[in-house]
Amino acid sequence: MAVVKILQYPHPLLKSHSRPVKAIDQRMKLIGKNLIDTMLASPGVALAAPQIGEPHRMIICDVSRKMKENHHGRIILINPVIRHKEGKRIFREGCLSVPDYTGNVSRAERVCIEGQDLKGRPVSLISEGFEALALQHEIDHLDGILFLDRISSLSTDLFRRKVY
Amino acid sequence: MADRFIIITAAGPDRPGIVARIARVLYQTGCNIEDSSMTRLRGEFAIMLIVRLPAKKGLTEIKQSLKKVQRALGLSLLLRPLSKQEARREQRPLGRSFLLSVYGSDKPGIVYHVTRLIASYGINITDMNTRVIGPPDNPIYVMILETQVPAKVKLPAVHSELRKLKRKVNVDITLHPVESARF
Repeated sequence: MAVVKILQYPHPLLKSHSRPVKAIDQRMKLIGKNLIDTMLASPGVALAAPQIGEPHRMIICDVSRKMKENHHGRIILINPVIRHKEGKRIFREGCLSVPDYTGNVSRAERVCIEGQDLKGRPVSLISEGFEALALQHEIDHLDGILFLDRISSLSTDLFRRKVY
Repeated sequence: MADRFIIITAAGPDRPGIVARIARVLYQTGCNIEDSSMTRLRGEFAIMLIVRLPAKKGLTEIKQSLKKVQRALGLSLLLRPLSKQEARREQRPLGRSFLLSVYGSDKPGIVYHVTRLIASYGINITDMNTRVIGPPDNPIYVMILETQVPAKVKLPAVHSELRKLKRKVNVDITLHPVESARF
């Protein structure tokens, strides 16, 4: 078991693009294993490889740790790509790499994501709700995007008068 | 010397540049703006800032430096030193976050009745907004509170009290946990 330190902003990797995974070799498998161990040891429900100092396009997500909503259990995705987005949901997000702050982020309610698993097999899944939000958050990490870049409103904003 | 903090509260007629002018003075006097909350309420802009003082200056000097801006912008201004405990970044967590929405035809006492009830349970308000909305002949009062509910509070009891209040004051009330997660 290897629990790795989760990087925190302003570590530059958190604002960098991660590299596509070309071959799932021993090293990539080790990164996958470390992602699992580190997530399980953390209070979070998902993690992206750059958060543990590995700038490769790999994410892990397991929302069953927190929610009983529809979910796929533990998902490890390599080179994940969002093929389709639907709906909109505002949710208060925090991030293991940005301590002590949460913000309202608007994301798609439902996504179709393609990628590969740790054995290189193609994976295609339709995810919705909480899990879909977590996956979008992690895929953002692969492009150096933090939830702070996507804050959609201050909590009070909902009630601010609008001039139409 | 240990860090010293003050809180500055200010309000004045809204216009572009209020924050910039205050921030300029604070920057030039070596103050550091830490946590802040600012918002516009109708035509008024209200400001709360926690400011770290520079080593060699005190509250009085900062107040003096802000005088000119205060006059120019017509601000009411208050500066108060903070104790170490008050200035701590990590405040004692008081429990789980809940959002309380209250709305109904505008009438006196809504804020009082609701806040008295939740205070009696030791529920702490961390954020609160109220707005009068709707047409002038039929104003609706909307009140949104973010609260921290101590673990020892029995939620069914609070819900039941809120239901009673709902009937008594004739407003709609919902209390629900704030959904949030760290990814």
